[in-house]
Amino acid sequence: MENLESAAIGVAGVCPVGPDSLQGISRQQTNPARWNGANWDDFAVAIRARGIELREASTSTGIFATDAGGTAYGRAHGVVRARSAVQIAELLKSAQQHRVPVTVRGGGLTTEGESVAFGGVLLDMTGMCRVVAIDAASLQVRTEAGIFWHSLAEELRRHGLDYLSAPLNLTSSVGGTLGVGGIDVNSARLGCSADQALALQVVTPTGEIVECSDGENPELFRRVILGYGQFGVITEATLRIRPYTPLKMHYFHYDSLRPAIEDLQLLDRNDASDYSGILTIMDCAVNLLVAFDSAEREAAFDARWRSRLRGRGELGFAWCMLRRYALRPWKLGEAWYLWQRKRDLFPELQRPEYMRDGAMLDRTVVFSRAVWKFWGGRQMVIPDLATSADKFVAAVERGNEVCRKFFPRYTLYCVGIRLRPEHREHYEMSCIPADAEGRAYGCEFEPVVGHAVYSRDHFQAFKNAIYDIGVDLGASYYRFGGMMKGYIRRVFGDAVVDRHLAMKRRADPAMILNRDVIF
Amino acid sequence: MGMATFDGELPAVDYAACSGCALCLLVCPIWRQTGDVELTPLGCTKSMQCGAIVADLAGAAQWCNLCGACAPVCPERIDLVGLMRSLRRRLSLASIEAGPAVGDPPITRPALSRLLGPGDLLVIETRGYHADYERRVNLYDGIRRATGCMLNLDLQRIAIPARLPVPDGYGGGGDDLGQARWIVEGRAIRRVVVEDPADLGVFERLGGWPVISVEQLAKESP
Repeated sequence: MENLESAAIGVAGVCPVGPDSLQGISRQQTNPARWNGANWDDFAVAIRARGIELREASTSTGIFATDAGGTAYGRAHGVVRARSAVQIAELLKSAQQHRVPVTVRGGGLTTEGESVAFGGVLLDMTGMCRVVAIDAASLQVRTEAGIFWHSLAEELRRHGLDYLSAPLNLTSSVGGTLGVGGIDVNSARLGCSADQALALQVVTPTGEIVECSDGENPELFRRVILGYGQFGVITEATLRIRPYTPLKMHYFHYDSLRPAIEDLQLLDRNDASDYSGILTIMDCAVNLLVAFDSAEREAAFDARWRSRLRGRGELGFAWCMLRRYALRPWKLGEAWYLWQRKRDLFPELQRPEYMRDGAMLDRTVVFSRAVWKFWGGRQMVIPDLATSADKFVAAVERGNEVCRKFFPRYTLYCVGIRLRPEHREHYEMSCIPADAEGRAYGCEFEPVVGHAVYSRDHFQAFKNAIYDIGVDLGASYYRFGGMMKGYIRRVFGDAVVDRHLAMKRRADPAMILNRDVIF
Repeated sequence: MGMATFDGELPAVDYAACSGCALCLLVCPIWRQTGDVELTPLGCTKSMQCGAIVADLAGAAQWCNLCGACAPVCPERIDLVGLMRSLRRRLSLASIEAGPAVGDPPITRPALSRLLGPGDLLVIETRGYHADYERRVNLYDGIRRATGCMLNLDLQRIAIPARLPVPDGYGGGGDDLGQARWIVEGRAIRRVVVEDPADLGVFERLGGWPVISVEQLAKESP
């Protein structure tokens, strides 16, 4: 392992434990201390007396010892499998009384340890995974919040329906996503997943069960949506849905980032496609994906916008790459990587069982399986930047330079996020940057780690370098909690953070709910 | 009992490679019926990474029906079926140790395509399908395209088993029809055709449509 690590560090060309590797954040702040267990035994007796099953065996707590990031490890004192809002209300009342921290976990797809319990109770929300009601006439679904988006899609598809937008990951939970945002390749048109929510059932940190929406208890609704789990546990959600359609996908290939981003923004500004996003293999192999729900929209794109895009087709891009590497024979290793990656990845995106008449049937399945197969692993580090439209090119180009410095291979994933003006208050202190108007943009920077081994400090230094760009540009982040919470005051400022902290203290007097994620 | 390990030769990729992506959870019928991750292959691999021993995993091993759904979806290609078999052997849970069915559907694809039509639900035998997933997913996709029939596949193209006992305490109340109900939900079915004759009874008990096995169908057709 040491050899591999040294090799990886050698490639990156930086010392992962150098004095500048944690610029702006002291290392001891990056992982919370384990809760000391005070009152645990009394608490365990109390909740069992209320009929709540508490699992304390190491087998039970071990399942949840880390999250998708794989860099934060912690063990709960006990695990509670969510069964109902009433059960969770009882749990939180006892937790307040005994001052026991409660960490809420859905799919566990956080990367900064936000869903890892460093002591206390881990509340496994996946136990609440039932679809309560589907209303095909009004295109709404009421669902328990521990359900995975994919499981929701399974149910909706039996009725010819689909969700609007959800993370391209099958195992994100609805509740977890509403708490942080959720982006899809149709977010430039439909907004983030959190904006699909029409109403929520929330259990507050003091154990009240409250229904909230823009019209009912709107202040709670504003705080819980995109609230990183600080102001309540989402137990049910009413979401907007739509009729299901397969999609027609087109790929345009670029050899640099800037024109691809400019074309992405051109399409988004003009509502020229139903889906749009950028996925890179390298910064000289950039794919702009454009997709449509209907033949009419596709035809309109072909007639008006296709010729304005600077991206090439597959053959044209292959010719471009041939010329590029013919002039740079010392980079043949890079060319080989590109060819291999394309050879393996593209057929996965067009598996015949997911295609009908040239249309893709289940985009989330196709992309999610590809994501895990080609980018997944026991450690995933995905720092990101979310900016206004006009700062986005600079953010991506600067982030790309950081990636180059730290990792030999990495991927960028960029999408637009349509904003709803009436939800501006939802967006405060969230992944949506304060200066964004109309549409925000997000870029994830994901190293292709493969079987290489990097130190946690190396990852941390990489993340800090990306996050420092956000501070410099006045951006925001999707994953600013957990181990990255040292950035919260730097990016949002003391006034906003102190106001939210005061609200948190009022809502959660013992500060038990999702402790150390934000505050 | 020591750490849960595979019997015999260690496979190239074992539980240590599990990233926790949970794609296997989505297709696990036990998880669908119970919502309890501890009873799933994912629960086993993550527990084993934290030092669980065989006895700790008895619940998962006991309720796993070895349908094999988890194996084809694992991006790390972990031998999850082998893991569950190994656990079952070490816990002397041998009652369902029969290996997965192998071989193609009981009759050939062209013959099946002549016998099936829109409104037919073809219930695929799960173990054989998952054991030979990469080939059979295309085989059955071809049958669906040719006939317009429905299949007991989910959105990941994984076959949903029709029979599964539900552990006590999970709301099933001893009802073993939950899986079959899920297979038929929202579908306009005219007839149910099962590959595994053992599935006949489940759909007959559910009622509402004629139920026939593929072999019977082949015999009765001209």
